[in-house]
Amino acid sequence: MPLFSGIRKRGAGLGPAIAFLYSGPALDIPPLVYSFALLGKDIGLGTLIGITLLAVTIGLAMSRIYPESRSESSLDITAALPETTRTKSLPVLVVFFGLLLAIMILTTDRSYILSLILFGVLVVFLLFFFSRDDMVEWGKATFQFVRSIIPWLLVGSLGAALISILLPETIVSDYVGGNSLTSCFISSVIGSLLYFCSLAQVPFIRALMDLGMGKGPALALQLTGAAISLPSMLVLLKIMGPKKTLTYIGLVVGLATIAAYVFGLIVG
Amino acid sequence: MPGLGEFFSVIIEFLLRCFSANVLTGLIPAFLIAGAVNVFIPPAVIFKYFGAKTNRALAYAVATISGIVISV
Repeated sequence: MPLFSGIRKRGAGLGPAIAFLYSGPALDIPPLVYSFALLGKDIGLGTLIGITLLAVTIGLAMSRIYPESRSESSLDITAALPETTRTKSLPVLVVFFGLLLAIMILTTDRSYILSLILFGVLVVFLLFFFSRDDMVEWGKATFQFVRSIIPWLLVGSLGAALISILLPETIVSDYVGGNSLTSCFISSVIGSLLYFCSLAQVPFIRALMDLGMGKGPALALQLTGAAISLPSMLVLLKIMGPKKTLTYIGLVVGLATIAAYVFGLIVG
Repeated sequence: MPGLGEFFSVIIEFLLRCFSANVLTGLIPAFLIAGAVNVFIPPAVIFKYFGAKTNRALAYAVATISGIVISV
């Protein structure tokens, strides 16, 4: 959100900025992996594809509805950003991230032996191209992530466990059971009002699915949960004004409903 | 109404599911990637594609994918 207003002020087009605003909180690697593991492949893939499609569609729609003259004098968006600490050449980065991604995908897919082999390759690669300082910085950043997310995850999964006991199954099946358009819509509205952290929402969705929520409505929660919430709407109101904010919210809820409904039809 | 023992066993069973070995082994590389992106990829490289001057398709692609790269 602060990044959104930052890049807008510095001349980023409304469309791309909105695409970033939507996908930024919703599309992160750890939550995606967690979704794959806990909610299954179809919802994991659905989330990845759904968020990507929605981000571009919503961005394009916003820039159509509110056209801007393309200013030539645009900017230096980059000026205000902090410099990164470490720079590596592009080939090194490509190999490095390629290996990491492959390891992640293989472990999520439970091909542990292959991923161990690749991990060996990664270690050798690191010895050649990365300094001790690089490794320390990387370790610190990773630890920072884990530490900031663990409390959320614990609270989230505990809350989800409670819900799975206390919430009567009939309520779930009445409102978000099946894959109907109504249940996808209800789920989208709930997801866009409540604040969810994209990793901690996964156990909630698991609990609700155990109680009988359909796959369509589950995806609707994934597509709206992290992207918008009541608090973020209030901040957006200040940044973009009521008209654009309402259009944005409408687009998110509407398109998430449709995407979730279609997804429900496909995967059943 | 379930008894207290049953209550706790359901909770613990659910938590074990959320943090099973398979789930955690997948999450470790995910966090390593998130950390690596933070340290080794300069945000400036990404944001320069957001400007109104950039090719539209490229701007949208970068904007969407940068969600993965930049954790908000």
